[in-house]
Amino acid sequence: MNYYFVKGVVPLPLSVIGLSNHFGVAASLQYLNDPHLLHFTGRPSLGIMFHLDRKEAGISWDPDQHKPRFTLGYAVQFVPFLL
Amino acid sequence: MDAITHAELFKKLKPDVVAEVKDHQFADNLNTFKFALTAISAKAGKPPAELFPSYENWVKTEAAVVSAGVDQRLKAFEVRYGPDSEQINFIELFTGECFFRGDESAPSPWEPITRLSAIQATTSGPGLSRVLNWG
Repeated sequence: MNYYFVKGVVPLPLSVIGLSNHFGVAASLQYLNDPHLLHFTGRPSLGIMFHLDRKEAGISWDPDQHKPRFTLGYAVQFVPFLL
Repeated sequence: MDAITHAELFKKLKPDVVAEVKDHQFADNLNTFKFALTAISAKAGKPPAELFPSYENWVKTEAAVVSAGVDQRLKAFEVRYGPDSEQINFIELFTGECFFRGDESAPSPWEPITRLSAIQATTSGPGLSRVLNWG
């Protein structure tokens, strides 16, 4: 769920880290084995993803290597209105 | 009696109290006041500016308040749907329209997330992965 600062007030801890538009958090699901679009093999990796304006940073558990995995991304749409 | 009604009755309106009033209620009160001025003016047969010495100042203040309200609303929509917001898919659009519509003063600050991020960098495996986000 994203929360946009539509009232114009950004909480101090979030403004310190540079946020000006929105903050969000979501559950994440990843498949690392042989990644292709809409192609899921191997064991799923579950975690949490934070949306910091349009930047995304997350942490999830790698079930094969038994250690946490970090993920970084940027919110773009490759197919408008679909992905 | 709530705080706003109390403040209105005792003419102690302050900016923070005005900010709590929704646009629709504020516009209704403003129009009622303008209709009263117009009725008095029609009854007296004189323009309002002649009847009320402070009428021009009141009109300027009204314009400034309305302008500030419009600016505030536009800013809220820019934050929610502007270039810095996330592009949403049709699932997020319809879910948001059904459950998080906002009101006349601003769109809802809440936006559901249900998307597949096609490419993200990760610290293990091949280094790239797709991530399904839900929340």
